[in-house]
Amino acid sequence: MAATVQIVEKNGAGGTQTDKTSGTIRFKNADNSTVDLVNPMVKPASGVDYSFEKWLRMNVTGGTYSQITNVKAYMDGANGLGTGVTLYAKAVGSFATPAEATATTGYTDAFTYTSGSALSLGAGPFTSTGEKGDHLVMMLTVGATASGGVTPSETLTLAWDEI
Amino acid sequence: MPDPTPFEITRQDKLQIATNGKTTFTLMDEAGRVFRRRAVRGAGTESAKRIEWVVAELNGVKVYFDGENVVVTTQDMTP
Repeated sequence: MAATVQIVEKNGAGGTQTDKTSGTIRFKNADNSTVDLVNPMVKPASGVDYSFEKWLRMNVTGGTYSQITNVKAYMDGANGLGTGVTLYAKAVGSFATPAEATATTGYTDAFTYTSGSALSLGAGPFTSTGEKGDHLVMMLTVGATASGGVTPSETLTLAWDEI
Repeated sequence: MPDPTPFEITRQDKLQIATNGKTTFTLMDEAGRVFRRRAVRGAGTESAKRIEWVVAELNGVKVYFDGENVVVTTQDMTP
């Protein structure tokens, strides 16, 4: 039986997990995993509005496997979030309480991570259950040229090798 | 559409055999290796889909199999 893998969003100082494998990740101006219209991103008159960070990580909850290796994340290469909206990503080992981003320093445009040039979240090998690999930290900016409303969803892929 | 079934990999003597219950994929050469390449595509959305591949690697050539389609290449492919 293969590993049972989920993708969790971590919130709060303790990194409380919420399974987001097939649940919407909503970028907002608050540190929570709730998918609602509270604390929305605000289109600024100038400059950009930074979201709170989203701390995501692979979590193995069960199954039987020997090892997981080559964990990586990537997008489809085309930003479909709309004009003025940019998604950023980076890999971070140790968890820190999600905060509102204040700059793009240390981040890379998430859409530059593609299947052929993915963001590594750890070579492994990883064994047993629990959180594995680096955190995928993402944040989103909304600029003055953005349109209002909820953006379309985008396609994040988390891939790994397993024996 | 339901998620695909992950492949299970077993060894029988020198053979490395992967099966998803419907199809079987066998590497006969002991020098090679067989592993699963798995993914969640569309993670963080309600349309998330699990991807289940099995890969055989032998002398730099990789054979990718998703239960229906076979790709033979030296390239490192991702779902």
